[in-house]
Amino acid sequence: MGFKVRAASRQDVEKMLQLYNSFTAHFVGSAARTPKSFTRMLRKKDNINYVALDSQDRIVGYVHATLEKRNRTGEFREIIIDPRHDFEQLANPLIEQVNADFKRKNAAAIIAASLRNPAYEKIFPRLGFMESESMGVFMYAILDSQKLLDELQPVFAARLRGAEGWNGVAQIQCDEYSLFLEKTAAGVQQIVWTNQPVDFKVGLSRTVLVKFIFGVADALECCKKGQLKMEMKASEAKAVKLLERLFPKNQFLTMDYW
Amino acid sequence: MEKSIRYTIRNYVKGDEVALSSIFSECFGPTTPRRLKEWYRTQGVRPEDVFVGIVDGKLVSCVEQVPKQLHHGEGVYLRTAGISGVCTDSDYRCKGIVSNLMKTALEKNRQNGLSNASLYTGLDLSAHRIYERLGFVDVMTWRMFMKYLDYPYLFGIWVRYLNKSLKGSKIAARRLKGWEKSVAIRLKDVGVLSFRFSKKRFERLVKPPKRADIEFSTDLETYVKIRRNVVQWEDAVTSGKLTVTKGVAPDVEMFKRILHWKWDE
Repeated sequence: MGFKVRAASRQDVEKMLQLYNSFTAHFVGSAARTPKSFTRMLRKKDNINYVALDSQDRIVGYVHATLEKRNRTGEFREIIIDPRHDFEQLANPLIEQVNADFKRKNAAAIIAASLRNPAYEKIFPRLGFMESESMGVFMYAILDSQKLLDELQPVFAARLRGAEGWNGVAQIQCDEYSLFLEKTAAGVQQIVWTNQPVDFKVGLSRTVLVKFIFGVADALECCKKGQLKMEMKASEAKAVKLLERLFPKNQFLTMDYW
Repeated sequence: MEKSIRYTIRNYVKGDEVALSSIFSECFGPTTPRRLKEWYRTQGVRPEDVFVGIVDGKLVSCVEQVPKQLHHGEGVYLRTAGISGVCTDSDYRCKGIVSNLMKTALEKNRQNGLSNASLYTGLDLSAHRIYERLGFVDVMTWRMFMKYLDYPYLFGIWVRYLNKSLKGSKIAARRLKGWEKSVAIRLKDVGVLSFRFSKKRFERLVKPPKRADIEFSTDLETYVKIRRNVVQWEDAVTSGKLTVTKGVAPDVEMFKRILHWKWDE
């Protein structure tokens, strides 16, 4: 399928935001955006923004890049592609277009930083970019375990809802605080407290919970290493399945820095 | 930790941006009060989001927080305190000021109903240890992809940047006092790039000096990775990717400090 590329305009703000939301829904760690973030992005004169259109002129991807005139350094800030399309196939014409602009504007260096889009690792080395790890790191701290567990209730409830063939009470404990969720045929609901034995219990530290939230630790590995405690009434195989459902391997990706 | 010092913590008030930009310049590179105010405006940072440490009426330290919402999975976005701009005047470091500013900021956030905080830092910075002590957990590191089309130009920019950074860094100025040396870097596929430090200024040399005090050869990729602290100088030497042809150890050490612009012990 052929795609057209054109410069992004202010009329594209809503579509770009929608695209950003549908793309980042597949990752954890991405920051929420507002139309204002995109208006600002499109307003700056030195920014380079292109959208990719499908045969029906629908926006299916965009690229946002900047050129620091003083340093003559161009930077790919974000490449967002509709998850229903192939990332590489659509990203390539967008990158080509930006690269051509960078060359025309006499860029001395081009940078693409990622924290961390797995597609970048395929695309940029092929275009002759040198690859390097970085000392920059994203860190996260839990300030209030009880509050965070309560806030995460919809996340865990949605994951439990998808656990087929299992009903019961699950307890997720971090520090001395717990989140209780009861799954029945009717759905999943939060229980404030119970003194009845639960059907599934996971106990973990703040550090391990952070790593699970952002998908940078494997639940099963942590269990084997004794970094989390798991208790279950049913078979071990079922327990493992439930554990993996509650803490799936998500991909971390963020494009906003502060 | 060095001897304790009396200090107070307060929120930002109008006019603080002048002192703040001077500390920012020392810690993060050249910053102006105007740029700082613009950043606060675009990021939605309010005066109560900026905590500053005051010693004898002088602003010496800062912690800011940027309001953000992060995706925690299944379409759920949670508020986070985006910690930023953590810095201390080099004359007032190792006194626990910034640790206490951080503790205050995090506690205020907890009281205001925030369950979590997040930040960006460098694994090679001493601040990383402070964050770990405060409960921050490493989540993910960056990966960079770079293409250089005109490296000599960037080298010139870097030398200019060194002078700007030197202006704001008392600690660098102290350490570089009396060190007047020239450096020649032979970069494969790029050529020889050189500079000297003389009369308290870095100066790019168009022609490499006949007798440079420090001289070494390497490839562009290794040089960039050393600069970025991803590859250690010693490892590059051991693996044969970098060869020092001239230079005594103390001078090379000083050059490494310049390269990383790292002056704290």
